[in-house]
Amino acid sequence: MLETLNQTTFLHTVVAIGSFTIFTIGLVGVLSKKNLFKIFLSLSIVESSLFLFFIGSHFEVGKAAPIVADGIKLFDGHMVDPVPQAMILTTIVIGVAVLALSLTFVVNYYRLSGNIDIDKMDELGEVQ
Amino acid sequence: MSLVYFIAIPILASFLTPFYKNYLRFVSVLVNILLAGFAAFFYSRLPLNEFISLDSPLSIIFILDYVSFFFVSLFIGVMLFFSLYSIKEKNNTAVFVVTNIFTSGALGLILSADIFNIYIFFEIASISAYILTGLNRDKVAYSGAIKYMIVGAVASIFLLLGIMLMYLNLGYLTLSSIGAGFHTMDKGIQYLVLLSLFIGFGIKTEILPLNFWVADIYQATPTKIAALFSAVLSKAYLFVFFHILYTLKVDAPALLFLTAIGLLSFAVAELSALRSKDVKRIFAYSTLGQLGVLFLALSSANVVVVSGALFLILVHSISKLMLFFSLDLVEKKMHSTRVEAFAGFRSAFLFTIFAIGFLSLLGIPPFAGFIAKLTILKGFASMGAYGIVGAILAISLVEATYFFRLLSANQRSKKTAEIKVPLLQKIMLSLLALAILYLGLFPQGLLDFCTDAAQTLIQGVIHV
Repeated sequence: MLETLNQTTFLHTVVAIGSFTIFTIGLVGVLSKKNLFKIFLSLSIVESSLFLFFIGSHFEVGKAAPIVADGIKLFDGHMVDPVPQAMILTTIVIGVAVLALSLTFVVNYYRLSGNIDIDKMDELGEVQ
Repeated sequence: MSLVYFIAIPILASFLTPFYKNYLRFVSVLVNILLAGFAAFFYSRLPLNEFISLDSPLSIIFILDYVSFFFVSLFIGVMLFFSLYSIKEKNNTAVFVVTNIFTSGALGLILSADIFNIYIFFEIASISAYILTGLNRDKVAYSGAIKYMIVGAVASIFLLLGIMLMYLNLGYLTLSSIGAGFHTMDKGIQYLVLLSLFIGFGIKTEILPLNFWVADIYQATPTKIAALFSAVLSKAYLFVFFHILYTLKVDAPALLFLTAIGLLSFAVAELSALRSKDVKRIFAYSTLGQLGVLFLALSSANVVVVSGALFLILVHSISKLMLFFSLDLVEKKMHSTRVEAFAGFRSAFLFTIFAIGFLSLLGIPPFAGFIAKLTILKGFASMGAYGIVGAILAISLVEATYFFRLLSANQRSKKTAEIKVPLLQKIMLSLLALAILYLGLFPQGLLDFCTDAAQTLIQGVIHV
């Protein structure tokens, strides 16, 4: 029983289903919430689901993390593909920066207008 | 000499701001002149590939071929013009800090030939655009910036999804390797990748049905910055999108879909402009319309049409710079961009500039827009697509309606305010107008270059 659970294909399926669920949770949040904070947090959740999916689908049973340390001198067949991990690290950094910037805008907007509801943002649009 | 300088120099100029805080505007001009010098240096060495680190499938690659050179020089030209135009604004350090990063993001987008770096520069350009939108630091600006960030986040999520799917299935990041292996992928995955790329880039290239946000953002942005969005940002994303598409050698139905979307986008944008009462929003809709034409023309895979589209990109950038910068002068005097305010200013100079910009966008001889539209229509006619020719001409009539309505509103109404255009601004705007006239009268040299560039674009990034 435990052997079947420790198969690469099985784990990939779990990762795919799990990250798709998180993606959906985030998407529902973006579409249904009115609070600007919650919208940006939902977007961040959607992004995280992509990270999980990408890292998870490159995991293979029996292979180590791609870190060159303690006696391991080079990247070879005993390690999982290092490229996705490097990519996701970069993407996480970008994501944090974008989230910080967006929350700055939200805080400043709230200070000026006293409003945090996306439906009540009526500053822009066609003049009548 | 390395292509990295195109990206490193502007970004360094921004990061070193504390050392020359009060002189950043001069530094920005210098940086742009330096970049223009680099571009001139590389012109005789085209086409050029540069590998940085690692072996072929994983390396970072920059490519400067005819078409990317066209965009690089266009963007450097626009940014140089922008920094010269604003050189007298002493208290505006923040603008230059961000516009330099913006330059580097846009140039990086054009030069990158691997898909992950495209994502990174996509984000750098977007983040600087968000900050530029919020620059006025009032309620309107923040509200625009927040809206922009929400749609921008959706765009980057879908682009990332597309990139991940490609890497999962192929194991490559460089465009040329992906292009070679794209058709070995499952048909379903291919369409999923294309759909993700379409949503990601479609939002950024402001194409129907993903352009609902554009007019709001242009309205919130300072008017001069809106010119940069129209002239640089959307063009950078447009180029990268088609660069990727032609490299992937997508099949005819997908291109036909994009053609249809482009035509629809053109029609809807021009009709929306008709009912708008704010000049800035009208210009935003006009940008959307022109981007629709560009989308339509670039997706034709025909050398003549694509060369016309590249010519139109240049002409449109120049015209929109003229229009937005003149509108900025009007806005400063009248404190509004509404049509009533536009009707009330008096300045023969600005009126002429507006008229030249409008006529060039409409494609009326002897201005450069005529040559661009003529080339596009000729190309479509040679392909036998007379329906598209008719549609473009018919929709252009709508465009003419609101442009002439604006001009006649200004002619007929009672003038309340005389605008004195400062000398620097007068010279710069006249230069743009002369450029449009010159390109309209002697287009051959540029057209030849555009043909070379179009061939490179349609060929895609080939395996190196």
